[in-house]
Amino acid sequence: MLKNSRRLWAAGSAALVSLLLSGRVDAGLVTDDWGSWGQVVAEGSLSFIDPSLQNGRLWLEGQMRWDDDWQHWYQGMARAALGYSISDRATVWLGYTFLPTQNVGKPYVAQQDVWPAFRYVLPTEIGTVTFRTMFETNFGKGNEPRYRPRQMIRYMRPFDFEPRLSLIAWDEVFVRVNSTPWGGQAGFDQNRAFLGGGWSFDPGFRVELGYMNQYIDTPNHQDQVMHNLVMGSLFVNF
Amino acid sequence: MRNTPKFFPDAIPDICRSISLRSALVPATMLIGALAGCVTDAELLAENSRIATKTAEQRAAEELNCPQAKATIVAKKEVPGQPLGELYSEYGIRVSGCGRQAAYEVECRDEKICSIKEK
Repeated sequence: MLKNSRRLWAAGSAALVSLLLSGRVDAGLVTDDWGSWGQVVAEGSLSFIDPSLQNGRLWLEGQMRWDDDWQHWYQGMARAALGYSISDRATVWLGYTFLPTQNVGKPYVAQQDVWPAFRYVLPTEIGTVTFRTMFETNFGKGNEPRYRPRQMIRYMRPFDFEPRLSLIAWDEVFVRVNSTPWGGQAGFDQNRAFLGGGWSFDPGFRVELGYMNQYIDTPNHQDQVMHNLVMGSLFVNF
Repeated sequence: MRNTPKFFPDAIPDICRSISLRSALVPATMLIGALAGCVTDAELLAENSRIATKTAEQRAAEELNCPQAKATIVAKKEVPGQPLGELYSEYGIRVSGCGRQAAYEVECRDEKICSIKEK
């Protein structure tokens, strides 16, 4: 069955390319630079604590981010979450994120987020599609939290000529639900689109490298920031 | 006095202005296309079972010094692989031949990548 999928594969590829090219292009682009993000993401069952916790999950993640054409470190990220596997495909999460930030020309700020999340893995005849929904509550400079849901759709397809090598493409949209003095007006917040490759060493390790386009609406929606990013990732299953 | 955050009354018009019809239709089309070809756990386990038994038989042929050893799947399930990655088919396999037996856990991503889970 999986072998009879070339037509679906071609249709899916065309749709993905269209998706990646469908980002908004506005006139008020105030920043258009290059940089890098590096991340390590580890996840595993809590059965290492006790076998009865087989369906419990632990997610640990760390990131470092550079912008201004690699001249400036601007952000780190530490994330931890506990999850529960409803099935082999569906997992619910409750997590925390710490986001120290030093944007060019601006004072240091540290944002903290708490969030529930849901992830669903969907194997298809043309590759694996993963959906991840997070509903962040962001705590920034002021007293008012900002509510910011984000939706990721991710596609992964091993190449026929080298099955350890996969095409990876994903897109994630962020929306500000409410207006806050520090977090901007409600509406579209940002979009992240990634296209690259992944190498699976075994069920426990995968590395990915590719290009990510981060397109951000400024707080008043008048201007936009675009980061062109080389993104490298290590994924660990423990 | 703190302002109570407004939810959807503020947000919906902005969201609608920000997300074009085109950018909403493309992922929807992709989603429908993907769902049309989705694969069940039973199908994945059935498809990967042949390489799983072959992998176990090859290992047993060496360890039991028995090229005729035959494998039987005694347990199988789909399990998560690396974060944001694919599912893996995990099999419990018993191999017997030449008066000897061995048991293995085998993990297969697909019909090409399959390995014994070392204990």
